Amino acid sequence: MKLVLHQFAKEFRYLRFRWFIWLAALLFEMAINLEWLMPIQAGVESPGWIPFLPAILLLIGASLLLSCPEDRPGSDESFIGTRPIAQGSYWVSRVLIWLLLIVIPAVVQVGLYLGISGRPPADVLRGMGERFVVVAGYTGWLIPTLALWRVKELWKVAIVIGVTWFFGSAILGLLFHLLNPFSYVQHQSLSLVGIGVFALLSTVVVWRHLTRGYSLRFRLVCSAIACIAGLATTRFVSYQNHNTPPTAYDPALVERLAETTTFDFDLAEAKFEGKEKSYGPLLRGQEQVAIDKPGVHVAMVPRKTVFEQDGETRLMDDLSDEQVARRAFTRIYDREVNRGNRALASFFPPRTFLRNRDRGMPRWTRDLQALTELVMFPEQPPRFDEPLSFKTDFDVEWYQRDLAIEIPIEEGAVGECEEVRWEILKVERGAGPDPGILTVHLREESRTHWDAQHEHATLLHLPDLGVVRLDPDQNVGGSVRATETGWRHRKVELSWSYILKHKDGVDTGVDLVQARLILLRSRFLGQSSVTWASPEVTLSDLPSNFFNELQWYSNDRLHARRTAPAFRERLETLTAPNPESSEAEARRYAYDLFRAAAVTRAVYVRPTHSDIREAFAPLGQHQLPLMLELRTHNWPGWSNRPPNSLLAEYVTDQQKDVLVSRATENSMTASLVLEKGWSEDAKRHRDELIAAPAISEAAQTLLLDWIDDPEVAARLMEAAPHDWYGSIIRALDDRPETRSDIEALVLKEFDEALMLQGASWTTKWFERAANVGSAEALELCMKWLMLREDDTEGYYHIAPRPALLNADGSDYWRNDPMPPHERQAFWRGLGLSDFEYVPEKRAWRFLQP
Amino acid sequence: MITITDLRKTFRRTEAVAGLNLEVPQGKVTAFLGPNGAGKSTTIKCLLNLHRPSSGSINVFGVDSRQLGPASFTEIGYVSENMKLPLWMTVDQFFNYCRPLYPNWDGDFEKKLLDQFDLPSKTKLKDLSRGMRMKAALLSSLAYRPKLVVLDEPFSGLDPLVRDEFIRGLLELTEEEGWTVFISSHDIEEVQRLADRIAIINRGQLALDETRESLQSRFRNVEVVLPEGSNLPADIPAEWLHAEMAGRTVRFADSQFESDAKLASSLGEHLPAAAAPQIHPMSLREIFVALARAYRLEGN
Repeated sequence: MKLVLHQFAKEFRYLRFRWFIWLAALLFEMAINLEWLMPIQAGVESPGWIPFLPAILLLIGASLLLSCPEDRPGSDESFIGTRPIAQGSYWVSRVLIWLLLIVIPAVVQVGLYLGISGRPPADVLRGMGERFVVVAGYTGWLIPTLALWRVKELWKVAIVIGVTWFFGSAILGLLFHLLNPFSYVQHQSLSLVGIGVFALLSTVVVWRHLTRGYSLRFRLVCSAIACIAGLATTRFVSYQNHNTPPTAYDPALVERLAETTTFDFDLAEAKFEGKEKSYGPLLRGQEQVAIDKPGVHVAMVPRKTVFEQDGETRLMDDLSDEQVARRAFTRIYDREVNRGNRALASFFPPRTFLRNRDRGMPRWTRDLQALTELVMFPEQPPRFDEPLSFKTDFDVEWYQRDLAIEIPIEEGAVGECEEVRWEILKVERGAGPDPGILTVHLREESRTHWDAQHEHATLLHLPDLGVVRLDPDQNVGGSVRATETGWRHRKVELSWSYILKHKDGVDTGVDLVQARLILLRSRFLGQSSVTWASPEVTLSDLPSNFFNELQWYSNDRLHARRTAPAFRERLETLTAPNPESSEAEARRYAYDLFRAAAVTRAVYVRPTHSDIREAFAPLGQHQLPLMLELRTHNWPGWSNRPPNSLLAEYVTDQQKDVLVSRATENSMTASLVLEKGWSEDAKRHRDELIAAPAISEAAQTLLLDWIDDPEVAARLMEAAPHDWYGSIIRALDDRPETRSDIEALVLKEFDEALMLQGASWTTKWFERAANVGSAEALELCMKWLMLREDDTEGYYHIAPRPALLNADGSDYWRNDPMPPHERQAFWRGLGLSDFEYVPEKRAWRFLQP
Repeated sequence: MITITDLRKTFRRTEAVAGLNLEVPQGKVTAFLGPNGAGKSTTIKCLLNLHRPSSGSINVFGVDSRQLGPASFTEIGYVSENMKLPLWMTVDQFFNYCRPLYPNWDGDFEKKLLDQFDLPSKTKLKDLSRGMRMKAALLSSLAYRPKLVVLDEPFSGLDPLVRDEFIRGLLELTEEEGWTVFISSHDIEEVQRLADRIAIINRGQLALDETRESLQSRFRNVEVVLPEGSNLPADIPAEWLHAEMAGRTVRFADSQFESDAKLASSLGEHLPAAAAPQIHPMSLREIFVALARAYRLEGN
């Protein structure tokens, strides 16, 4: 040990001036991090070199080791090569140099920073530990490297390592892409694994080299191999993709919740869809999961499906992790915090309005209507038009959200959770051109490094207004400091428009004393599994776009701006069928006609409608059976459906049986059947339609015609909660015997509906509840309509529009004369006393003109 | 003290030492001579365990050179022309650094050597002349009174005056301390005053190994005059090195000289017409050159 210290003292004497420079650099960085120098200001960029400071510091630290005198035992030119100092003593002294002069000062610097920043001792110790790992990882590999190479050889080594790194990365990257074509991210902590492998292999080579003496070439080859092994480790071991689950936060809770939670799917909202060539058909359904824990929600990912049809059992899917990741669109862990659902609403009083930032696609409504994939069918699928049942094994991913920080909007307010600390530095009211704006200047400290959780959202709760703003309108951040200390910090300016005043300048009456700034946090709790067995289902009964083969959208640019001429030119090349044409010729013509209309987008251009109609006429005249085969719902566009309209023109009683037999295929055929007066004939489908798990558009058309049949009415009542357009609800509401039931249903759905801006599905229940006479619903609709006017671009902000009648009984919405700038005051000024409910109209009437 | 047995050392395709056998006796100064590239430095590096022999062995103090470690190096002083000294140190700092490495460091002896070598204690090594730097290296390798001193081309690049000083100092110490010295050089002139024994290496093999006296006693320069019109016969003895004729005069180096009478008898046998023989003793340098030329011819 004496010789170790003696050697250490000798090298320290040599390095001492450089070491003082290193210490000065560490102090400088600490001063920058503590903002003693160049304090950060929200919205003002700090000098561009500051983010590089940690890397520059590491280079300075590494250069200390590199500049140590090259003088070691075993070297044939070194002075101490033949002196009585053991290799062990020499290298221990080198490790001491590295540890005491490089690593420890860097660790102490972080400890000082965290201590001065006021972090508790546990954070200080953790930060120091993390700093040790990072600095040791990034500089420690130099010790074996220096033992392996002489200074004069280093440039050769640098070239070999550099070339190996470059080409190795490219080759491994290519291999990696071929094996696993996802975008991957690399975490700093995990890249240290690769460096560790390189250092370990280098150490083995050093040990052998010091005892045997390897040639330069051999050492270069060994180093290149070590480099590739390090790279491969980094690539194949330490990379994670966005679908790799984060560390489970509370697996025990997941285990407990999994035991007490029931998982089911509502096939009434199921969709049988997909693109045959790209993905294959798949079935999706709405999960129904009741979780007995506030703030917890799940995402379900199918892994394996077994189906049974006609007594035959087949395994459809047994997916690898990679395949699951490819298919599981819900597995984007960091976006679970932005899921607008009941778990989110449960944090706030009932009827609190959750408002998105209205520009762009709001994140909070993105997954609102997402259906869970139940099964993807293989290349040789089952028969879709015959009943089958299936069992699917799911991975259930559990997430918990909580309000991690909740602080009042006042200067000096402080809030803290495990990974974030907030301090409000300043609150500005009505700053700038917008008198209603609220601006909060916030100092935010947050955890960095490998265990950092970034699944956070910043909310503003205004309890007296009954509003939660889910995103700040502006989030202006200054530079981030202290990124390598475990606790970085920054100053941010958060602004929300129209908090103090509405867009029309009227005070909102908000009481900021009650307002709270909230950090919403999402945690991945863990994963469980569940198997769900479906009832017997015929897939072709379910709503589907599976047979859509037109693919019109991929060709629309070809004929941009000359749709009509292009369609006519193509039409002229086709040979229309005549009475003598074979069925094959007619089919070919029909196909070509479909393609021509699709690729030129002629279906969307009114001037071509007559051309299309004329083009279909020969088929209607001479090949009516073929027309029956054409599925009208495949025809793109809403305003012109030539096959269907031609059917209406040319169909005769002779085609009745065929038409009735296909009445359930699409709503147009169903309407035609009813139009022709064949409703009674179509009732042969009645039992089948009542028994189907979901009601298709065609089924709905037929069942609504038979609504006086009590069993049909009961089935429609079951389907009413999933009725997007409201046809079923209106029909049931019109019948005295089902009116009270439908009222109860509407009020129940209203009670459970999410008051989330942009959630058009739940918006409908506010309208419907108001329409059945709920005064509360009407008030909320008016509030919603009033607040909508605050939005600068209200495109995504769909507000509920209850049925309103003018004082003279006419429809208020039909001819809304209100100029936009007066609307907000109008809705704000209205109260329940301004209306009377007209039950027979299912509407509210203004008392005053 | 040192026994080298069938030493071979190969660097890729180059055989630097090719089956060297040599004994270095204790208490003597052995000069290890050879032309540049003969394998001297490689042999010494194998001896000090700086290189690993490809085959064969070297025993130092009865220990295989591969096992030489810190303990052995307290008994060995080594100075090489290529040795990289810590030039950033002053002379004082340098000795302060070296001192704790050796339990047998003799402070009084260090002072004596300092006086003898006249080294400036406050000057950095990088500011010293090459000769003074070699003296510092030598001092650091002698102050602990090693049993074996190994010097690898220690005089290379030194001017004659410094070299003379260096040699004189080393000579005095060797005589006083009775050290075993193994000194390599490519120039015999540098070591002829020091060496008790001469070993010559050529192309990695030992060409000669004997005491200085023996060597000098068996080499003679010989000059004889032949009659007009005579030629140098083809079958002259092999021990007559570099025999050549200039006019009527024949010159050669006799490498097996025993006495004038025996030489005269040999001349009578091979050059019966030779007259006026002149026999001169040879310096070590002349002997070395003669041998070096002979080896080169062999090589051809």
